[in-house]
Amino acid sequence: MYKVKIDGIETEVNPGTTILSVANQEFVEIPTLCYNENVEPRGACRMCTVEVEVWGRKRLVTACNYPIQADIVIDTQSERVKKLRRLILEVLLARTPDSPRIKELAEKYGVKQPRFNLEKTHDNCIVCGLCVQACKDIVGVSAIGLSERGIFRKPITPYEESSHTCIGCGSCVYICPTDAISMVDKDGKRYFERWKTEFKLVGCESCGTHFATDVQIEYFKKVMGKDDPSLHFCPNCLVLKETKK
Amino acid sequence: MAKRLLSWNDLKTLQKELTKNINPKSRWIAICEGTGCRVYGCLDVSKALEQELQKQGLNNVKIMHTGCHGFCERGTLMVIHPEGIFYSRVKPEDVVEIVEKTIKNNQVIERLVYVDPQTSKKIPYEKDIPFYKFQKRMLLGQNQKISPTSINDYIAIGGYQALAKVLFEMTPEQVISEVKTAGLRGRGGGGFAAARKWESSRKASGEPKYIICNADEGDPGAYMDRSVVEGNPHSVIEGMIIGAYAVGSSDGYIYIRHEYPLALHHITEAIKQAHEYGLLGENILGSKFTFDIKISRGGGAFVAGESSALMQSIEGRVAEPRAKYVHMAEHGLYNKPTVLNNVETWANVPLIINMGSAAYGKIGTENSKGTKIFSLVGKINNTGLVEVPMGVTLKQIIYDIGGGIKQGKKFKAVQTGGPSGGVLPADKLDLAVDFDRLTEAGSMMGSGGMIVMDEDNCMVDVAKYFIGFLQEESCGKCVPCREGLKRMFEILNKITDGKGEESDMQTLDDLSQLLNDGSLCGLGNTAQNPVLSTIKYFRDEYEVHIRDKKCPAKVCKALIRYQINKDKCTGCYLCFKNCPSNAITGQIKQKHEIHQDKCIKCGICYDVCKFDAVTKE
Ligand SMILES: Cc1cc2nc3c(=O)[nH]c(=O)nc-3n(C[C@H](O)[C@H](O)[C@H](O)COP(=O)(O)O)c2cc1C
Ligand code: SF4
Repeated sequence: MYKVKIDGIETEVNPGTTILSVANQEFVEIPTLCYNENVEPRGACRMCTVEVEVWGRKRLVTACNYPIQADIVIDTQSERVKKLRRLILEVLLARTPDSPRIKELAEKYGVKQPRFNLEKTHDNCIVCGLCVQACKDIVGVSAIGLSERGIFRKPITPYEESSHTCIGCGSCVYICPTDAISMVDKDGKRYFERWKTEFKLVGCESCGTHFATDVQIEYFKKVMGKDDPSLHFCPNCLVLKETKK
Repeated sequence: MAKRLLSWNDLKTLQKELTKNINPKSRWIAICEGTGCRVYGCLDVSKALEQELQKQGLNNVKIMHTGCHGFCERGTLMVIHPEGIFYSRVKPEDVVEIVEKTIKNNQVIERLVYVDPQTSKKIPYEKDIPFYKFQKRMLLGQNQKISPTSINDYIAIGGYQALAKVLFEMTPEQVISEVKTAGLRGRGGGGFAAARKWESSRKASGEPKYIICNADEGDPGAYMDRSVVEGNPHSVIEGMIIGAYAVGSSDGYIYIRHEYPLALHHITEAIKQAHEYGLLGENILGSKFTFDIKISRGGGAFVAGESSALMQSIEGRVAEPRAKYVHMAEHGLYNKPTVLNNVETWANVPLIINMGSAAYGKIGTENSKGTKIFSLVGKINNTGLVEVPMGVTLKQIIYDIGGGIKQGKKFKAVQTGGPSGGVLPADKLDLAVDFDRLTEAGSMMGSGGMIVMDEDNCMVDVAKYFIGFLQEESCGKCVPCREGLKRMFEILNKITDGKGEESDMQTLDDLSQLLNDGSLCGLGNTAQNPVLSTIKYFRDEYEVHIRDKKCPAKVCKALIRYQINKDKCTGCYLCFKNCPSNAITGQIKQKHEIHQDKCIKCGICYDVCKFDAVTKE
């Protein structure tokens, strides 16, 4: 066990515990954008940077993936941290001036008008990579990836053509922190503009509500190795059926 | 197939065998066949020389086809021994004369002799040429004595003796302690103590342990590592085997840039030869120690040279940096204990063992030991690769070795440390060059780039160039580096376009902090250096750009004007004919005029005018 002091609160943790999980335990708020507990932290957005002191040395680290390996003092509100947060939000706000999530964070941390030209692409993507991670590590299909480098880096389908491996599950949409991926269900079809894909929706055998794409159901049949009731009914009806039993 | 060496004795016998017929008075010729000289056609010179010697029946004159000698701009380089006569810019058509006069009759051919650009004196012998005289070529010097594709040449000059000594006379702990006492620091950029990495990796649990040589060398214009791998591949291999023995590793990788075909060819050949002699593989030199090296080819991205990205790349993934809160020495390649060192770092290891840490430790400064190879380029008389002991001053490198500034112009600044290094002004010329002094001054050692600039270089433009490079090479993973560099580049462009505002200086300072504090890897963490160092030493130049909309060095196009001085113009028509945008009007023998609205500021008129009638302001 290591001694931890986070914003003055003292506690003890097991080796390897991340700063973010200690903070969550102790109700210390650290802003995050690219962190999602279902995938491995990439530390890409740097929003969760905090100042730590270990073995008498002070440094800035990202809370999401810093494993505690010694007694540590953590300051989530130091001047350096606060200034860095503002600067990160300033460049992000210039990149995605329309994103409600970025606007909200910017306002919360005191960033008003960025000093830079605002991008006019109306794309809210901040290239955090969560969609790519979700597709690969949660869904297991790797229909998208990050391409190019530097300022041109972006999530795309292979060759930016309609993806053959996408199953239309929408996990990328749910995990995106800035709502940058649109998914539209209309007239029995599902469209992803960013991935240039289109799917047929399947209705619940009980209530008729569209609840998945046909490709998605085929994919799950293959993964489960069998047909399963969960592939025929929407989540609501499934719960009802379970309780009736 | 060469005979396997089964003991230290076998190696010693082989060395004796290889050197017994060498007469110090015999004639031999070293021709540089490094990548630089190949551009100048050295292979044709070699061929012509071989043919001529054969024709003349001079079969006892040996040609040594060596790696890079460092004085690349003067290629093809040829050194004729035993006297050490130095010829540069040799062409195939010179060969007949060289053989007739120098080889057969010991005459020096004046025409091919080096002329000191400062004193205009002719200097026939290599040892007297300032470019070489003031260097300490512990590593590069070996390049000139061996053929990189011959393991026998390397063994003849004492190669693999350090390895044998380590295997049969030292424990791994003693090796680490020797390297620690020698004070060897990483030459790839960070200057981290090599022995400390080795020690943590040795102590870490997990098998197998890996040894990696970083030969990715992505800095624009730098080719120190290429020259070592290309010219003396066995020194790197020997260093790695010694390191592996110290750490307890059986698996090594050389991660090499794919744009280095010759280096790749030589290292591949060298590994094969070392195998045949039993210097790599199982039971090296008959000992119990086993180690092998694989080659991994880099894709060429600058960021792939960063340690964590490099390891991802070897694992077959995208070369993208990741957090290093747990040290690579404990969890590196395939999550196993891994030691990564630079080419030059590895090549220093056999030297340390051979010289002993005490003698090695006498070279250099208190905390930076040994020599460092720099790639010296820019507005300087002698450009090329130079190896100097740590602690020599910038002045010694630039003036004694580099021969001072070209065309007698005034020195303005020197940029060290590669793209994320910094710029140092004239009053730092007495700075002793070592890891710590350079960092304190706001620059860094980096991997050893050194670009000399004169009064015609604009410091804002220089900063813009490096930020532009880094912006393109940023992997784009983390927000501060990706977005911060873009914005920094935008602001620098704005300033050089004459649209800068007072507040831009504060914004540049803030963006520097964003990069340094916020970025994930070393690329972003140090990317502010070009901007911060130019602001630190040349703040006034930024201010003149912003306030007066002028570029004092007359580089930034938007801030200069070309005009024709009516008193000097003879109406010769030359500028008129050469202007690509039809911005010049005037009849022949009448005064010409430049129309500013059409002028694209290419500077052609300025260059072509024979009467100095075109002015730039
Ligand atoms: C963006 C970036 C690029 C790098 N490129 C190289 C390189 O080309 N060669 C190299 O040896 N080290 C490079 N490094 C440094 C390596 O990360 C690492 O520190 C070094 O290889 C360790 O070896 P050393 O201790 O012997 O210097 C780079 C670092 C960064 C941040
Ligand atoms: S600092 Fe730059 S190069 Fe390094 S991870 Fe971040 S974006 Fe990539």
